[in-house]
Amino acid sequence: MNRRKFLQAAGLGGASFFLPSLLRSPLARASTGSTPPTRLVIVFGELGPEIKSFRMKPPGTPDSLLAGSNYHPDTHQVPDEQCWEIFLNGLSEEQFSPVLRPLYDFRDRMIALDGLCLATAAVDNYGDDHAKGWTAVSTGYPSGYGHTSQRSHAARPSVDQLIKRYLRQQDANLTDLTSLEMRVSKWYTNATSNGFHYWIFDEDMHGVIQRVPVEQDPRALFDRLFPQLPSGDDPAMTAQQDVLNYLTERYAVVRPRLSQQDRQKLDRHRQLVSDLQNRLRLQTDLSCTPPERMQRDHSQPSDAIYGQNLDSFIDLITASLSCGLTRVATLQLGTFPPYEYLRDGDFDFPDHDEHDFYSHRSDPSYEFHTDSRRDDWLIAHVGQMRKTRYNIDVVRRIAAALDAVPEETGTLLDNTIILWVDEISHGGHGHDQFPAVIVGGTQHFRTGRYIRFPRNNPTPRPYSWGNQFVGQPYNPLLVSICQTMGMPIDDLGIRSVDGQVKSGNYQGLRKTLNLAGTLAELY
Amino acid sequence: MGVNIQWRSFRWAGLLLVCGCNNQVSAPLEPDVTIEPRYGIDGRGLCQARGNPVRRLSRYEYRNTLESLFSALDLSFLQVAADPELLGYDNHVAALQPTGILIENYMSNAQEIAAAVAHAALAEATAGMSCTGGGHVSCARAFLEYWAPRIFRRPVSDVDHLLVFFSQAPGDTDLQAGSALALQAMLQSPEFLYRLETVSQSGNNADSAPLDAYSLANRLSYMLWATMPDAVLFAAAADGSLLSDKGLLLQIDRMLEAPQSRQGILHFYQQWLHLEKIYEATKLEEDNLTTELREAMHEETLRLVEHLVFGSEGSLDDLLTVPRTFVNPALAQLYGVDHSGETTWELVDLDPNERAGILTHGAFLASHGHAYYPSPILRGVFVLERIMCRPLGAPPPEAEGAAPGTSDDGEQTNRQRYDAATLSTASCASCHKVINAAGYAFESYDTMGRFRTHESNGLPVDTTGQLFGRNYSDALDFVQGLAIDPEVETCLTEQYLRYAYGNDATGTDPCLVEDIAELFGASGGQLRELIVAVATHPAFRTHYLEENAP
Repeated sequence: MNRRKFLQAAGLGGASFFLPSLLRSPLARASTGSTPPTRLVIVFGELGPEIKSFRMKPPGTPDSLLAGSNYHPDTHQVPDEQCWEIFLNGLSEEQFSPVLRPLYDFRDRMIALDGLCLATAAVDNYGDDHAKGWTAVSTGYPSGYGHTSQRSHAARPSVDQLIKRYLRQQDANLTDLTSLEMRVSKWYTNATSNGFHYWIFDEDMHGVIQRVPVEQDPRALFDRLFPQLPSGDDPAMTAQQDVLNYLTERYAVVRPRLSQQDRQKLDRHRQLVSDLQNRLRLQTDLSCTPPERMQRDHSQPSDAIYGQNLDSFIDLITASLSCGLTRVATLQLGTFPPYEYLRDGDFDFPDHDEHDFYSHRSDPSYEFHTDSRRDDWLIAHVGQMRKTRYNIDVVRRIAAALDAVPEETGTLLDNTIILWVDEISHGGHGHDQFPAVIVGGTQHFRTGRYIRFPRNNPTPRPYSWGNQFVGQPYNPLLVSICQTMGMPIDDLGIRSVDGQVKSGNYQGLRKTLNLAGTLAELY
Repeated sequence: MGVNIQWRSFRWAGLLLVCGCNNQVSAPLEPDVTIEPRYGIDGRGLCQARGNPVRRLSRYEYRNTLESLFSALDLSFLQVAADPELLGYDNHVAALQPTGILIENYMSNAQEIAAAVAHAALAEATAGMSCTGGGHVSCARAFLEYWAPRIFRRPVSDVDHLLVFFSQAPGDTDLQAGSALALQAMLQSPEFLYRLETVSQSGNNADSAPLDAYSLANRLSYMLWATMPDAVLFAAAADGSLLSDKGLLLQIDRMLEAPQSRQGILHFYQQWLHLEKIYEATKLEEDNLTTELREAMHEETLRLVEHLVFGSEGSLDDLLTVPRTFVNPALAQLYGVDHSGETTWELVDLDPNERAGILTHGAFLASHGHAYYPSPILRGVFVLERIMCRPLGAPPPEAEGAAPGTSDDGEQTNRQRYDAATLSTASCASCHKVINAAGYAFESYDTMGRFRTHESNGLPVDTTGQLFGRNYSDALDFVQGLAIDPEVETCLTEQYLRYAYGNDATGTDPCLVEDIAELFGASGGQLRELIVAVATHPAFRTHYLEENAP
């Protein structure tokens, strides 16, 4: 039995399992040195997780432990000092929360974080709660301006792009494929995404923040990663390099006719052509074995297409990380996964609006209402729970794919951090009590734990929420990840926000919330 | 001052042309309205467009341009990364930055096109020539001299830099291979991918100068057609006639009659009116908002716009209040009007007590509603931001979570539930008094856009309200008010200027907006005249350097 068949028999292989050739890859060797580099995969959910079915408490402790952290309107006014750490290795699968249960097999290589606060969203004056969340989660900094009352635009690059830039500065062999940006769609599309849901930003040569196009077509990404290239001494490759040489020269020739700003724009274009030229040269000698290029079957329903796109992206992430082409990958999941994954048992999943019903109506505070909102919540929070569980299962599938790739003395997963986040904390569209999950990164973080943070920080102002206390600021988590990827930074451009209690028994209480440094609880 | 009079008269001459003077340019007439002469032909120090930085072709323009160049080629293989929208438009210069994916797209597209057309392109350029043996170089040069001006959209005095593809392998022995590589290079060159403008004079005082004829041709063509100039426009640039008032007007009139003007002008209206939003709307299964019905709603509004702009000298008033529209059978059923069945699309009269203008179209009404109920907030925000140009700023953090419940079987109307959710606290009410007032007029349409007098719980809808001091009784009264509101006229002017200039020209120079809006208004709000006014304004024929932009 060859390795591929063995792994599939063991339930670990993907449909188009990829056998890496890391040690045979000059690019990988050149860019990694003797020890494998750390990689990062960020999985973005949307429209909020179902927080009640995410949360875990230590086995045997009374339910009252959760009273202070639920969403009863009364809990908004008082701090909740309760916090705990659960060692996951000792738990049975049934003791995992419904949402986190798919990760049971990775319990000793994961950290679940409960009770974070997207503090920069609280001081962000642009965009709606989704837009504030995207910006806060991916950049750790408030938005720069608003396109409309809903849409905002980041003021800083997202961390994946910061990391990419840093890594490329350190290693000349890394190309523009150092980062991959992907979004899973329910359709076959040739278009990149540049629409409403936006996480990824970078800084151009003018210092202006720009959206980074996000690939929705796995076939197009495949073609970028594994182009059909002639060998280096093939006349066709020489001719292609001639064209690119001409272009880099041509952009330089036109330059003097332009204004200073226009020169910068064309310099950027010229640099990108040069990047492409360099990458093609490196890829020519790459000896990775690619996964299969996805075939389209237009007769499939949209649910199946979503699954197919997702499978293909997971294959490509695995391949590009193990080949040394890529260090950072971001994967945006759809606002809602295919309904076929959500129907379960006798629960007939109603065909309601994803945002309006399942997200909004799963507002955890609705559980405590006595009107139709509670009726809605009873249905919506189940749907939202299943969506969240599905997304966590995507994390599991990525982890399993990486874990099936041997690397040095362990697997690719040992050298990869997978981070799962959403843009809002729950259906109420808030940014406090924000959950996150890390899988992998065992050489950097003390894994195998569930960490609950206290909710005892005065709420950041001025644009924040009705609750008076919030949890642990989220930014140190991003700083920790950046440091793990090698970046010598201590903050993301904002080191603190001011919190203040505006009503209730604690009215007037003030505190400066620290957003700098690493998240100590990870280590 | 004389220059100002000239331009004013010139524009009115244009109006005569548009009114059907069979391409005979009339003598300039004195306008019957007085416009303050605050602009000059060079625009210096007066009305200026913001600087005119180099613009990359947008995805839409890139596709259209390739179709213009290679009309016989099926370009369905093209892959082009989407452009980000800015201020609601896909051609904003600040957003049209090069990206890694785009550079790859350009390369792979150029390779595919070159492989497909090199043989025919070479034959077209070297017809009648002998290209073997000693003819190799002369044919190569003929190929470049034929294609470079087309691809670069202006005369190319020197093609020597491209001869490199014919002087080394494989082009030194294989003319077609060299042609393919040269095509690839040209289709990725800055002269093709960017709109590089040049001026007709040098040595002026550095902040602005008249565009040269080819730059003006390109500017005009991308505004009106969203693609490159055709042979006639190139000829007008070549003989200089485009730089004269008469020549420019002739070309504008001709171009607006050409079919390409639909793709350019309707592309603006589609974006201004957020028509693509209908494809994102979520409705209940029982409402049966199929893909076909979404497409029909989208097409209905564009058909009406096309009819008004190109077919009937329609005005902004018509756009907002005309009780006629185009329907296919599915839309006829939705609107409760007859469809003869003779053609798929028919221009029909609507019930004048139920519908009038684009804001009573399914595309607007269904796009701005939730699955269960229509949203006066979404409808109101659209009217305020897109029709009246009143930016609202970000909603407060808790606004999202404060939506009313889904149930409509109780004792409240949709409006009452929205009132309860949005007006009960002072902080919410400060904005929602205005937002809701702009949306409640449309309560006589359910979330699919069907007309209704009562809600599904039997309660009568309330469509009365007051917005900015003006009372209205229902949607028809409301849109009548919008139609006579100068603010709306100015808003459309501003929106079109954003699209025409591909930047926020209007944000820094209200004077330009005022100029155009005043002319637009003086024409009775004729939609076609708005286009002509923008294209003939001195600022449109002038290049302003970015560094010196106001």
